[in-house]
Amino acid sequence: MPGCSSWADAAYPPCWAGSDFPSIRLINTPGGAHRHRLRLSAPSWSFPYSSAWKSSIAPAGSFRGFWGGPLGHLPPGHVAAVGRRASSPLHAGFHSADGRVPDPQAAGRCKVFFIGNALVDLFLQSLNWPFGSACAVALVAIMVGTISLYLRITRAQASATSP
Amino acid sequence: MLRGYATIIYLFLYAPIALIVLFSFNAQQRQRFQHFAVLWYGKAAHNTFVIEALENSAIVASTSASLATIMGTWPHSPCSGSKDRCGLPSTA
Repeated sequence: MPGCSSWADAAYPPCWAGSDFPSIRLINTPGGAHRHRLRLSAPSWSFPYSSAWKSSIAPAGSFRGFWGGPLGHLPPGHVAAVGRRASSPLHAGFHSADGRVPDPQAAGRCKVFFIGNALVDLFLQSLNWPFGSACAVALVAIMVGTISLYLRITRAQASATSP
Repeated sequence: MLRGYATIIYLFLYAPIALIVLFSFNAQQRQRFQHFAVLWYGKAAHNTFVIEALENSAIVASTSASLATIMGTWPHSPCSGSKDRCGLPSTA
């Protein structure tokens, strides 16, 4: 298994042919878990995971929060993943043998999701530029509206108090 | 000459922003720009993750701004009255 640097990597079939085990993203964000749930119908690859496999990969940084949370209580099942391109990070998600998927909200409980996280997620990970652009433009509109409202109020107050 | 440089610099600064605005009205997600549509704004307004993220950001922003305003304008704060006490140069 030339591309598999560990037994955990060996669970990723392309690494048998020399491909590197891809970095995994989105796994502990609500959006990532939600998108994965939608894509579970047609994953690129899927393989069973066991408690031993979980413990072997658990020390990896991005997994730690997720592992200590909902996935730690999920019984053995399958990990399914979708990779957009060979160079892109793997979008992975887990579901147990009885079909249960970690709740997106529970999966994201280790991280507070701000609007900046959402924008980065939309542009760089989902590659949904129109949606990200619409969110960004709406955010700018909200800020401009708030500032103009503040200026209007302060000007009205200033004109009312001036002789 | 100077006007040309200024135009190039302004284009470099503002063209990406203009592209972002243009993309937000694209009807298709992964295709070239074909025609204007506002469906992404509707999707953004009904997306629970975006709304929740916006709420989180608004809570943190309003709380930190309020606290900073209170702390900065507090009548008996170390900085009130004399800026020297804060280590700032006195303007008087």
